[in-house]
Amino acid sequence: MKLKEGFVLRTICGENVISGEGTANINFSKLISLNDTAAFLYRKAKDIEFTPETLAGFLTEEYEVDDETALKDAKVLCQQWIDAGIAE
Amino acid sequence: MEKWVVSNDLFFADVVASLQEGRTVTIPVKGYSMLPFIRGGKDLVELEIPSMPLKPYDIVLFHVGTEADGKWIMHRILKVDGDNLTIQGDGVTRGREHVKVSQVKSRAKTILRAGKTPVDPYTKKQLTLVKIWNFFRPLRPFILKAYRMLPWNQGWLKENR
Repeated sequence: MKLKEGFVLRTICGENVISGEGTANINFSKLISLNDTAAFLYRKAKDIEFTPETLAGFLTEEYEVDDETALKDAKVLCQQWIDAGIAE
Repeated sequence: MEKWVVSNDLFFADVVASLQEGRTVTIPVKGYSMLPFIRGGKDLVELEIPSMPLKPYDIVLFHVGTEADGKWIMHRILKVDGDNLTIQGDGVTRGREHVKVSQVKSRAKTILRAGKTPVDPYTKKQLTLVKIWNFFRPLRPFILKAYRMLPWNQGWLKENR
């Protein structure tokens, strides 16, 4: 899977959020909030093809987490991104 | 969908910063002071950096009060007198704001209604509607009361109560 074009991770009001952005417009009416870990993974996954296993790899590299938990969390996150329409 | 409530000051600081990057910004609006032209909680507004000079009928976003204890408002300009603006919400029956041009941070470019073609609020047709609306200003409380009672307005008004 990959992250869809047209979304940008930015900090709004001190929170990591994904907003829809074109070259001419930024849409602040629908913002998707990410915690720090999800924001870290979003940055890593930008511009690459990835699977839950890829994200789990990033998690175990960066955080002290076992493979099984990392994969479980990565799968949940991937599904949330698909449901939110920011990944396909 | 979860609603994320943030301080207006923080939110609009980011909106203004994004406008200054040279892009327009789409925001949700709250409140009924721009009825019937902008429906708070239902319509979205695309904002732009205002082109000067500001003109009557421009819908502007401005800041009143102090920096620490202020308010952000989007209403329509009634009168321009040099650096002084008289502003009133379309859905307001009495109150007016008197602000300086420097307090205006943005201008509404487009009004977006779900499933409808985006509305340019400054077309001849839209401005004619505003002029008719202003002509009947003394009747606004009654017209707005009737508007709120219309069956197709009940749903979204209730949701945003």
